[in-house]
Amino acid sequence: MTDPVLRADGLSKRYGRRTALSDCTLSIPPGRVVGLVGPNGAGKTTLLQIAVGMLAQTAGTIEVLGGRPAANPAQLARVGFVAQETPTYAGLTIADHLRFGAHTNPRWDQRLADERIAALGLEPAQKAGKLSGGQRAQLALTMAVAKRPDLLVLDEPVASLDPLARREFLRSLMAFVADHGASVILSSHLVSDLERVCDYLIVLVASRVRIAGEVEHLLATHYRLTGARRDPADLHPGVTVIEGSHTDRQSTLIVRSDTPIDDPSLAVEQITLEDLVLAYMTQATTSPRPALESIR
Amino acid sequence: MIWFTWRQFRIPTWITAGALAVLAVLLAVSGHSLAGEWTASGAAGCHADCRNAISEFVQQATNGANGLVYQFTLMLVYVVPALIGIFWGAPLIARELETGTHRLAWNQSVTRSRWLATKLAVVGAASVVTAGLLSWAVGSWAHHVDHAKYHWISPQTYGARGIVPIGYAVFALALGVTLGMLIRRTVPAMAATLAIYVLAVASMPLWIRAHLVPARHATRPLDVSNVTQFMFNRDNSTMRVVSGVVPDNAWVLSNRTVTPTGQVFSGPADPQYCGENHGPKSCLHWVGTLGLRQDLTYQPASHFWPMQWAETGVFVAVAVALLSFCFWWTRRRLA
Amino acid sequence: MREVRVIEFHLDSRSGVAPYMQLIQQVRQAMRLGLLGEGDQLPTVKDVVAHLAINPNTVLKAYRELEHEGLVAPRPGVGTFVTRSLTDQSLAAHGPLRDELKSWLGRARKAGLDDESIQALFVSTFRTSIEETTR
Repeated sequence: MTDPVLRADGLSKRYGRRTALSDCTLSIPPGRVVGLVGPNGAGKTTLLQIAVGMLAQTAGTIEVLGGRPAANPAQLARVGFVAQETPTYAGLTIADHLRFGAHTNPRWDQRLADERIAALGLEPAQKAGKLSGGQRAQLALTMAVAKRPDLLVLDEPVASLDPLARREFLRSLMAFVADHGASVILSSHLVSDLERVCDYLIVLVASRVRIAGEVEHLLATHYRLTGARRDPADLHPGVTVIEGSHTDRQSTLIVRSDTPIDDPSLAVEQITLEDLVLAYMTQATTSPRPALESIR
Repeated sequence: MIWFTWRQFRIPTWITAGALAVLAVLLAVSGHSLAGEWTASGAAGCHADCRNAISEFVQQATNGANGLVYQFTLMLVYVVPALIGIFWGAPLIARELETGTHRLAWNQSVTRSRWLATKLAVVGAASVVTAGLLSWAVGSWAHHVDHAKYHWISPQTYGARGIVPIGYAVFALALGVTLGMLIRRTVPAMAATLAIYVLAVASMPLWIRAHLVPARHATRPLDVSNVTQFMFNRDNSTMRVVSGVVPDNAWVLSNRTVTPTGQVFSGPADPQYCGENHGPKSCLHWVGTLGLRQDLTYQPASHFWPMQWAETGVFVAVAVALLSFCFWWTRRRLA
Repeated sequence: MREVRVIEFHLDSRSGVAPYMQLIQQVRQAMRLGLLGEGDQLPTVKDVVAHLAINPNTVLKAYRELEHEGLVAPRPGVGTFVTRSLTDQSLAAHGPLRDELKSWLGRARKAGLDDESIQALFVSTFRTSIEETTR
């Protein structure tokens, strides 16, 4: 299975005059845990909702696992989705939710669902409305994973959780991935939430994809350069400056370069994923016409 | 999906079934006493001139406890479809949109169209059964009273009898679902549903019902010996004459008195026969010599069922249109 | 097969060291200290993932690397097992090296270096020596 789990081409979504997503082109390889990072309102939810067929795009095409999102029951069965705020039916019990899943999903794994609920220490007869935020998120995740999907999409699953619940949630998510090998796309406005779990990163700022690629590759091709003040333009041609700050004497640059930087006048450092994301966010807010780049 | 819809809808169903059972007991007890009065008044065994017996029965039936039951159940048949629209229709989709649970439901391996269709089928069936049972129970209870008073023609009774309440219920449900889907908030959708339901059901007898089935037309010479209205305005000597000759048990839409040339007769009165110095008799006699005709438009009793079907059909058609829109909206626009 | 949980991993997100590398270091460290010996089973990928909330590929990568180094070997369907022991050679070497480092630290202090400068000197020398060996 090497076909991309998600392929988008010129994907856009407008609400009247407001653009939520513009010209998004992506190809996500299978078997990855993809982090979709960007500030609130960047279009993360829009992209994910289009991918699971909750929303229809206004332009462009999208293919998820080779099919049109939510086109038919078979396509729905292959994609699990945990929506933002992890909605559940407050008046229904945990058992009711699981029965709902069992009745409506051909690949439903009742044993997996029961085991997860038991492992979480939850009582099946409990009403979903009485659960804590973390427990509700876990119930929503259980509903999504018991479908045994090939792709699991989670929209800000941990944003509203306290640190402990956040950790618990990501633990059980990763345990599922380890066991069943599904691809995962999850979004967050904080890269620190996703740093440990994702191996593929998409940075989305102001409705546009700023960068997308394997985390390892991204870290290996981005550097922080520090040295005497200089014009970023006279760097090596293969080097792209993402963000630069200058004092009267010193320049600090975050750059991308596919070849190692060998310049004795500069101190070259590796950067963290968080620095990398911040650099792209800053670039998006300062430069009017961002260079759209995508690394695969 | 059917199981889940039933699970969500279980409590309203039990409440409704309970309320219907209570009503059935009330109608059974009260119906027993009503049947007693029907026999006691002599209307039951009457074959020839029954006017006195029936008027005595109506007197008994419309006063006291039975009269209250009559008025209450009549009102109930109008209110229940509204309640169906407000409490079953409006929240059906709006509550899911409000709490975001539609995103959970839509990610199960069931298309949105089937999700909506199942919900509508379960709740729709419950609505039809509820409205049908209610109308049948109340109609059977009030059978004698309605016949005694020729009540089918009165607009407020007509809408609470036969199959029309089912049409109202289906319409109210579809209206509630549609408004809930568009407004996306349960309480405002409930309010809007009530307002539009009242408007639709009230406009029916006011403007639409009379035209659902072509009315019958009759014209015959005016019979001055049977005139129910005879008015004479001395200041401008205009007149108004209305004949009392109408078919039994009919809904009279217009009853005009016209001149031989076809104009509505409005005088002028001849002072030679009509006026201060003359009694009404001489004036009426003079009117009889003018060759006036009675021009009658009416719905006969035999049109009761055709009109019931037509009116139900109108409401069901509107409901189908609303629900088709809902399916389209769910597939294309809802998120 | 023993049902013994031998070691437990932990991650320091501020260290700047890649998570898979931290796992490798912790296995090597445990082997040097004698906590892991030949025949011991490493935690399963699922256990590590469920404990640390990290990407399974990270664990797989660390285990592959260790396998490449010849320290562990996978047994299909069972898990990953330690195939060597690191204690003898390294522990024996620890003592003399530690003594040398101690005396070096004493000399550095005598030369007037404060703790921070000593650390900076050590780290920068350590890095350049790594770079020299890798080039």
